Amino acid sequence: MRRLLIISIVLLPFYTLSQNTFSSLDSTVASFYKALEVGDDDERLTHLGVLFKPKAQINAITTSELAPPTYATGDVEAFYNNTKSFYSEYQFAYDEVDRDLNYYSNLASINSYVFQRLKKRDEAKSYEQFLWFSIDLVYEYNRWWIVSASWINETERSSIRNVMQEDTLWHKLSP
Amino acid sequence: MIKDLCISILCLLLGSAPLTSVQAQYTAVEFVDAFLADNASGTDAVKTAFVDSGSRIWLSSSNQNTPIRNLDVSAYLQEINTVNASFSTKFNTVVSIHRKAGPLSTVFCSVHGRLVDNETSDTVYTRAIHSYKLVQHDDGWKILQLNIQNEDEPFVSELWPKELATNYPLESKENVKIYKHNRPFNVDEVDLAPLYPFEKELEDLLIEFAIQQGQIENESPFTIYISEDGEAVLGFVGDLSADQIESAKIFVSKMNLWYPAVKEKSSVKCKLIFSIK
Repeated sequence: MRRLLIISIVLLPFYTLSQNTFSSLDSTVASFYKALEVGDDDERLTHLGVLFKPKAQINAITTSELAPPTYATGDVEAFYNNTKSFYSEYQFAYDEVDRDLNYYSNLASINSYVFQRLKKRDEAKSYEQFLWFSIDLVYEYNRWWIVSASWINETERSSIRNVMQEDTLWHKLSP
Repeated sequence: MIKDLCISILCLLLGSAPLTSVQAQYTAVEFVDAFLADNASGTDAVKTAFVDSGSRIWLSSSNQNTPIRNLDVSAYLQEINTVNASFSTKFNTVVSIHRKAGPLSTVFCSVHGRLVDNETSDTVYTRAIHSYKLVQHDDGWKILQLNIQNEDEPFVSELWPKELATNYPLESKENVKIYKHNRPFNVDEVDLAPLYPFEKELEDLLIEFAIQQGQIENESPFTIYISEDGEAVLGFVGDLSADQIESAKIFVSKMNLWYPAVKEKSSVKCKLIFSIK
């Protein structure tokens, strides 16, 4: 009984913090990029697990100068399992350069232009690139949940700089 | 070299699938328009609009108390077909906000729906916001993810500009039953016919008012509806005389509640025919 009480006391601040953190879109999205930077495997999985709704989807599209583009899709666990080895080799850092929001009621769609830095842990080498992140969220149980995160990298052949300039089209029915 | 390393680090999920740079037949916006048109037929075209693996559809209802639903593509198609069984549907994009970089595209759009009841021709108009994530394959665009929020509060003005409003009619939904039919069924259409719980009492009533169950030659037919909760209500009285109508009214008023008819495990309204001398 005492043990249970201690566990409850330990978990309570974490739970309260989580609820407050995810009550705004701004802090939820910021937490997502922070979660992607976490080096410790278990901690990263915990952070991502709290952010995403079960069965949420991660879609990564990669373009290159040399090869045709590829895409990969999976849930949070698949992402975690398949990136583990890279996280042990590299330290990731993300800076959101620009962000745009479309929303209605319980649905929000966020598009961000993001600068990614990778630093090799055992060497001084680092790599940089820009990414476009498109994140969909839903509001339920007094907080925001990520239901999908999709991203694509920039290459010289495939620019992503214009994605922050949204194109609005009106559809008129033919008479 | 540096970029290729970054690319390999990005491509870390399940098995990654190659995409080609072949120009798709449609733009992503045109593809979404075609997808919405395909929803009206509920054919496999809806299914093939999604990527093969793991696409999810998130549905937020107009009722704030209903949990957000998460469907796979087969379940979504089944929902579409259920609606299409009762309604002729037509969905149109009204305003699209489109972004694209390489083979990734997003469309955030308002959608106008028209549902015409196949039996009553009652028409219901709906509005919703859809958010699509799309990827370009060699055979065109495919949906990675679809997120739908049905109308539940004042609509977003930039996604419903007044200049377009006349194109897309809206109508009060209060008086229109969307999913539940209220039409009475004939006895031969139900799984279990209505049953009067007191057989002897009914026989006595029939004799007392010179009424027989069913349509009898040379007698005047009239109908009684047995509602979902078992109440008997006098229906069509056709060419009954004033006296016969009065008798029929008293006959019905003396009835207790019936066991209602059952169809597909639900009680339904059912029509019974009687004849009076």
